Parts: sequence; C-alpha cells; structure tokens
Amino acid sequence: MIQLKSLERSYKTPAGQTWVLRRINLEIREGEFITIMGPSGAGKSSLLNVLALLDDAWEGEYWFRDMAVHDLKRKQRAELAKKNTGMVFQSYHLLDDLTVQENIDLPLSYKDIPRRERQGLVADTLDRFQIVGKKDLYPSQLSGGQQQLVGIARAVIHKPPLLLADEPTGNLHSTQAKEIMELFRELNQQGTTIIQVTHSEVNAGYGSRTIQLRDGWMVGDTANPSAAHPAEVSAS
Amino acid sequence: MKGILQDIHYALRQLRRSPKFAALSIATLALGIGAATAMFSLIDRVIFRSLPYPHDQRLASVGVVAPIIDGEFLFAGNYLEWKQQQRAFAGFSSSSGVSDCDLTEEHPVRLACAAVDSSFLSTFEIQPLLGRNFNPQEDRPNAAKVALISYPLWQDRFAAERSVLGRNLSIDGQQTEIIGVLPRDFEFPTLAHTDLLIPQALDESIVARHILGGVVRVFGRTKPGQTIEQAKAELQPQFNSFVQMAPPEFRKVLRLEVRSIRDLQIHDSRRAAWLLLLSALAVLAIACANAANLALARSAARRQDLAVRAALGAGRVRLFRQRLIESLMLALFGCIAGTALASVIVHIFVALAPAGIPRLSQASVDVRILGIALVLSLLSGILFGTAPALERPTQMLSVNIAAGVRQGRLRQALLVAQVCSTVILLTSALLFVRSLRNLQTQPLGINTQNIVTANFTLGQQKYATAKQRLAFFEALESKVRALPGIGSAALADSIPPRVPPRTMPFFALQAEGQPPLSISDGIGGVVAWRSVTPDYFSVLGMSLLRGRAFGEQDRAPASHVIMVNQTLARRLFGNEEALGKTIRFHTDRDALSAPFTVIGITANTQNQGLGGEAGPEYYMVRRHTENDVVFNYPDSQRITILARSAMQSDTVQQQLRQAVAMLDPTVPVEVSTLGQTISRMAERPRFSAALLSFLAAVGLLLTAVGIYGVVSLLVNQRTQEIGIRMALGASRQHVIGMMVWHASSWIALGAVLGTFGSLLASRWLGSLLFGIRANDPGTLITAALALVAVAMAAAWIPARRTAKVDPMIALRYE
Repeated sequence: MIQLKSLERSYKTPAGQTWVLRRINLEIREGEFITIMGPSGAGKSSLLNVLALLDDAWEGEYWFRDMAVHDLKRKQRAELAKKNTGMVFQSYHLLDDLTVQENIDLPLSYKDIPRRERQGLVADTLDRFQIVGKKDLYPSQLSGGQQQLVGIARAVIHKPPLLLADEPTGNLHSTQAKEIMELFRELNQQGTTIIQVTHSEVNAGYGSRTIQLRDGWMVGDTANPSAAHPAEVSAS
Repeated sequence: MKGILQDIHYALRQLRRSPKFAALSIATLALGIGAATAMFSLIDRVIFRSLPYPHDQRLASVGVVAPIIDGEFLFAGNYLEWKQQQRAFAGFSSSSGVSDCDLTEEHPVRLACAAVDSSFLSTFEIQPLLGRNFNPQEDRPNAAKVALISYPLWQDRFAAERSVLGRNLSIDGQQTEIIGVLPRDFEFPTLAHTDLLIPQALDESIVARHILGGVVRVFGRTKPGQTIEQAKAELQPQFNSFVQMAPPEFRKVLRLEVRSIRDLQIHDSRRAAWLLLLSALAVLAIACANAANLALARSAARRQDLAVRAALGAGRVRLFRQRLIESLMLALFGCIAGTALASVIVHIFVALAPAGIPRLSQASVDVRILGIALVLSLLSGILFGTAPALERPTQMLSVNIAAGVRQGRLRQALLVAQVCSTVILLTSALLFVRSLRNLQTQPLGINTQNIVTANFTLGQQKYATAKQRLAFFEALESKVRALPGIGSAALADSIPPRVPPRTMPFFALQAEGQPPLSISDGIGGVVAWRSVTPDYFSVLGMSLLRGRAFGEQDRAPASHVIMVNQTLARRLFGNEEALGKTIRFHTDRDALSAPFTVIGITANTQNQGLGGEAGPEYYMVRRHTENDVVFNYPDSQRITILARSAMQSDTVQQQLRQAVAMLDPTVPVEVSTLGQTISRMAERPRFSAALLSFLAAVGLLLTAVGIYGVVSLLVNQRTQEIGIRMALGASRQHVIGMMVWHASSWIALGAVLGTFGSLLASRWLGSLLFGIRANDPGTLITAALALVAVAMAAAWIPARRTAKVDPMIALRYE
C-alpha cells in the first residue's frame, strides 16, 4: 500500500539543520495494523504526519498504491489524502461549536457529496458507533472516551483505506482506552489499514507489527528486522 | 496615590512592550479624536460660542417679513414709530445697512460703511475701544459727519495711533470726524464686513408726514428676564397697525419676525453644522469601538498574566483600575496626536472654506477646544477601556469558554455598530456629493462658456445723479463694444443664476385683456426683473421662444417695450398669445406709468440662485435716458459687464478692467468668468460635501481597520480549528472563505442596520439636498455596497493568512 524509500525530514533552525527523520525505508501492506513506538523526539509524529500527507516538506520517495506521491503537486497530495486517509488525534480535536453530528459530517462537507447522501452516511456512522443518542450534543458535553469515539467516527466516515492515529488513548483512562483499541482492532479486521503512534505496550499489542524509532532513525521493525540501522543506533 | 503611580508606570511599560498594539490604538484614537476635535473647532463658532455682545441671548432681530424684501425689515417711518411706542425691549435700534463708501484721500480706497442709529452700540452693549459713541444730535440729517472706525482699519491705516480721534476723513467727498475706534472683536449683527460705523441720520419728521422712508434692519435687546417670544407678543399691536397700513394685497403675506441674533446669523448653517458635529461624533464612536476591540483582543492575550496577578492577591478593583489606567494612557497619547492632527485639519479646511460661512475663518484649536479634546479623550478611554477591564479575575484563571463567547459577542456587536455608523456616514456623504453634482449640472438656461464678467459699483458721491451714471454706462458700453476680439457684450444690473436684486409683486403687473388679480389672492408672489442692454440675450445664449430680442431702436427714450420669460407669459396671459400685448404696472414710479409692449418671450433661466426653481421674470432694456426705470432705484450705480469672446479669459478680463479704468481709474472692478462665478455659488455645498466626505472616509478607514483587526484575531484564535479542518480535507480556499463568511454576517447585519439608520436620518437631511431625495434608493444601495466591498476586502486580507496555517503546527496546540 505504502512504500517509503530513503525518506528524510529536517527543519532549519537558527542552530542549523535539525533532522527529525533519517533515511526511512518502509513498506506497509494493505490490512496491516502498525504501531510506531519510540521515546519523545524520536520522530513518531513526524513520520505519521508524512504518512498522512499533512507534511509535504520531506525528501525521498513516497509511493501510495503505486502512485509516486513525491512527484505530486501539493493540491494533488491534499486530494489523495482527502480520499484515502482518516486521522485520529490524542486531543480528539473536535470543533467545540459543532454538534456530534456536525463534527462527524465535517470530512464529508469537504467532498462533493450530495447533502442527502451525506445525511445517510452520518446516520449510518452514528448507528455503527452507537452514538445516535448523542448526535445533538456538543463535545464539551461528552466524556473523553465518547469524544474520541466521535473522533474515530469522523475519521472513518468516508471509509478511508488508511487510518492514522496519534496517541489515540493518551488522554483516556484504561477502560476507555481498551474500548477504543478494540474498536481499532474491529476496523482493522474489516479491512482498514491502521497506523498508530503510541507509548503504550498494551496498545501496541493490538497491532500486527511494531516499528521502533529513535532520533529520527528507524531502529526496529518486527516484520523486517534487517531494515533497521544498527550502526546509527549504536552511534546514538 | 502611590498605587496609581505604580499603575501608570506599569501601563507605560506594558505599552512599550506591545508597540504594535500601542501604535495601532493611538493611531485609531488620534484619527477619531482628531476628526471630532477638528469638526468641533469648525462649528464651535457657529453653534456654541457666545456672540461678541454681552448677554447675547437677549438680542433679537425684529421686523416684518414680506416676499419682496429678503429677511425681516421695517420702513424707517415704522421704525421711528415703533421705537416710540414699544415697551417690549430695553434697547431698540436699527441700521440702514452696510454699503460701499469711498475714502477719497491721498490713497483712495473703497470701504464698507454701516449706517446705524445712535442707539446701536448701546443696544448691543458695545463700548468703543477708544473714544465715544455718536450722540442723538449727531444722528440727524445735516448734522456734522462723524464715524467710528473698525479695529483693523485703525491698525492698518492709522498704525493704531491714539491720536486718530478727532482726525477728519474724506468719506465720499464729505469731511467726517473720527470719534471712536470699535473694539477688536466687533462684528456687525448681519456679519457684513464693516470698516466704518456712521450715523444713519433718519429724518424723524417723516412719521408726522406719513412717509414710509427707506428699509431698515431693526435690533432689540429684551428686558432682563424677558424672553424673545414674550417680546414678540408685546410687539403684536405695532405689527397689527403695520398690516392695516399695508396695501390690501400684501396683508395676507406679512408676518412679524422676532428672532435671536444667532438665528439671524446662522439659520441656514445650523442644520449643516449639527450634521457635521453628529458625523464627527460618529467617527469618534467608531474609533472608540476599534480601540475597544483592540483592547479586548489584547485582553485575551494577557489573560495568563492577569490570572497570575489575581492568584497573587490582586483584587478586582485593583485589576480594573490598572487596566483602566492603561486605556486612559492610550487615550491621552491619542489626544496629543489627535489634537495635532485636528490643528492640521482645521488649517486645511479653513483655507479651503468659501467666504460667507459665519465665523469659520476664526476657527482654531484653542485652549477651549483643547479642553474639549481632553474630555473627549478621557471619555473615549473610559468607553473603550471599560469592557475588557470589567472581566472578572476568576474568568481569567482558566480558559473560560463562556467569557470567550461573551467577549466574541461584544466584539461582533462593536463591529456591527461600526459598520452601521459608517453606512450612515457614507450615505450622507454620497447624498451631499450627488446633490452637489446636481447643483453643478442643473440646466441654467444660459451658455456659460467663454463669458467674462466684470462687476463694479460707481461711487455714491462722484456719480450721485442718474445723468452721471447714464453717461458713464453709455461711454462704457461704447468702449467695451470697441474692444478687439470681443464677440458680443452687454450690460446688466445682474446676471443669472443669481436672484435679481429687483422684484415686483405679481399683482402690480396688469396684462392687457386679462382680469386683475383679486385682492383676496394677495400679492400673487413676486416677479424678478433685470435691466439689460440688447445683446444680453445673445451673450448669454438664451433661447428666444417667440418674437424678437431688444434692438437699438427700443432704447429710445419714448420706447416702452418689455420681454418676458415663458413662466411669466403663461401666468399673465394663460394660453393666449402674449406677443404684442401690453403690460401695465400698478406703481407710483413715473418711468413705469406707460404700458409696455411684449416684444419677445424667452425660455426660462435659473433665476433663484443654484438650487432654486426658475420663477417668472421680465426684462427692461436700458434706454438712453436718465429717466429709465433702473435709475428710479437707489442701487442703480451697480453694473455687470458681460463679454463673450473666444480669446483667453485673462486677456478679456484685462481688457474689461482697462475699459473701466480709462473712464475712472478709482473704480474697483471684480472680474471673473461666468463659469467661475457659478462655481463659487456652489462653494458652500461643496464645502459641506468635502467635510462629510472626509468624515465618511475616516469612518470607512477606521471600520476597515477594525474588521481587519478582528478577523486577524479570529485567524489567530482559530488556528487550531483551521488546522483540524485542513487535516480533515478542507482546502485553503475553503478556510479563507469560511473566515470571510464569518465576518460577512456581521458586516451584512451592520449594513442593513446602517441602511435603516440612513432612512431615519433622511427626514433630517432632506432640506440640505438638491435634486435628490434623502431616501434615494440608489444612494442607499451604493453606500451599503461600497461599505460591504471595503469591509469584505478588509476581512479577506487577514483571512488569507489562514492559507499559511500549517496543519501540523496547528495541531500541536494541544
């Protein structure tokens, strides 16, 4: 599904160039449930942003379903992301002044989908996530777990083949976290490719493959141990 | 006290730390305070400031209003009678008016002499700076001539020497003793320029002889504690006698008028002055709203800082005071900058102002205005500083959504109010500009191209008789006709579109074959007339509808012909043919005793000034005789030369000057093109339109800055939301559109409210406009759309910054 070849990302700072991703080579297959782990500053969120096509200032090659993302223009990348990805955030990032229903409808409102069809999709999603009763509530009226449920519903309403989640249970207590992870597992079993960033070994246990990052280098991949950069690891 | 000093110190430090906020707030307030202060300076003299007479509210202009004479008046005979009879006023005086007089000395100069009663200065409670007032003996016919001179004349001609008293001047060839110098701030009640005050020397015997005498303007000072209205009621018996003595046709239209001197001076400027003051206050309110919005925005940014202070024990009062002091400091800086700006604006507008606006030339930013500016600034500081200062410390301790919503609503309400005020300002300015354009483009019935005019008045002394005047004018006509390059030329006592100086009541014209006007119809209005030479019509390019224009043959002493305009022909003869018919005048003037035959009918010309409606008019040819009707009138020494020429106007003007100078080099001549003369007639509406346009432009600028500021703030506050939306698929155009759409709802609401406000204001504006209704839909829509366009642009510029929002960074605002 995704192939990264020698992908690098850096920022220019007054102190010089700071590298956040170094020579990442990674292949992700359809239906995988991948967990990206590593200490703070390892580059986990940066890699997720690259994969989500939110970041386009990287170098190297990015292939998405045989499409050379690195050759696409900014607008084309945005279009690709809109169609194929869904994002789940640690802080849910629901819009406070929109109801649950309106929040879920948000990604659809940016697509050319007729209003009636959108209403149908929203109703289906509310039903599927069992939050019909909460459709007219505002995010501030929901618990953290409920808010994240809405966040996930919003991320998958347009049925993206790739779901990206950045610390999806970081703000939840363990019971709620477990429910969310069960939901991810269910979505994955239904065919959605999932990539999550987490510090939690328990959450990682829900995935099929774990990638370890450190100082921007990919230092471990349970599916492909040889892809790591032991030299740099030992140097760090 | 120490705490307040500490707060001032802290406020100054805060402002230094936020130079952008401080500069923007000060600039906004400076614009508002500057515009308001400048407008106040310009109209202060008109509306608020005391007149330069002690107890000026007790002074009144008194007289009878009749359609044939402009303003209230009495005949000299009535005045002398009323003066004896009346008990309503403590002081009662009059003036025969201000007229040209020549100082015929070593360096001859034309002056303005005001002829007044000996009781004039005492009625106005004016004390001469030097010397004394006239006594009643000096105010009699054939008494030795005396005069009081004005302060500027004393300064310029007599180098402010005190020995000027007792010196003799030659005024119109008569020795006149200077007995006093008028105070520096002296002004004639009609605001006419005055160099000399001379006794009017009315002949008191005319009362016994039942002679009306000339027209005088009468002034009274009410008794202490008595109002002008009460004085008017007490004059009713005198007025009733006046009406009984008047010709029956006039009785219906006569009216007693007793009004304050201030009203006499500014009655037609008052409404415009109030409009300007209200507009200036609206601009100040817009500036305050802007400053308040900036302060609210900053308050949101400083919430953390204030929360820490609250947590460390600062009470609500202390925090309120501290933030209010910050606002007041900003307002004070705005006041300093605004006053400097006001001074510049006042200088510019006084320089641009046309002559004749009461006291405008005296406008300046003086101590009184500075005081008002300071008060306005402090009020502004309190006004815009109170809203953010009222925020409770507990609201600052955490991100309080309700407080944020309240602040957001307040900001939106302020913006709506700004937009609403600006739409009203824009509508008013547009109405004035369109009214001005209508005034300037209205059909006048004449061709103003390539016409040069020269106006002058012959000296009373040198040209005392009709024979002397006739001789001068005939010689002048020959000279002007002989000038090279002059296509055609004419003499006239006045030219359109000015109102002719002479009118005749309609009932005095008896058309051949038509029934006379019934007495119950009153005077039937007035008919304007002009005394012209034959080429008058061709020079002005007037259309002759039927018959012919005057020819040389009509100027014979025995000739009695007349031309009428279309309106008069219709009123006199209805649908019957007027040509060849005669008109008789019911008047005791000898020159009008014979019937006049109508030889031509002209199209109407604008003859009631710019903005008036063309009325009935007739023309008399200037005959070669001193018995011509024009010489029956006291001001027959005034004349206007009209010359049509393809040459440069400067050359023609020079030629006309020389032609007059060759006959009498002491006669001062005013030359101009007819186009310039007409343009000058539109100076006052042009000035009002310029002032209102200036205020509307400032209002528009401030509103645009306000919208820019609020949308900028919104973009900053909603960065995370924008990031989320972009992460969920929103395009950059979409988020820009969202921000602009958000702003557009307040803009639209403000524009709608402003349009309703303009409709309400239209009732008040109507009388100031020409050729356009104050609720003109085109103007209302244009003003609203112009505002919306500028406002949307002001919203779009900061909204574009959303395109630069990086969703990755935005999403890091965890």
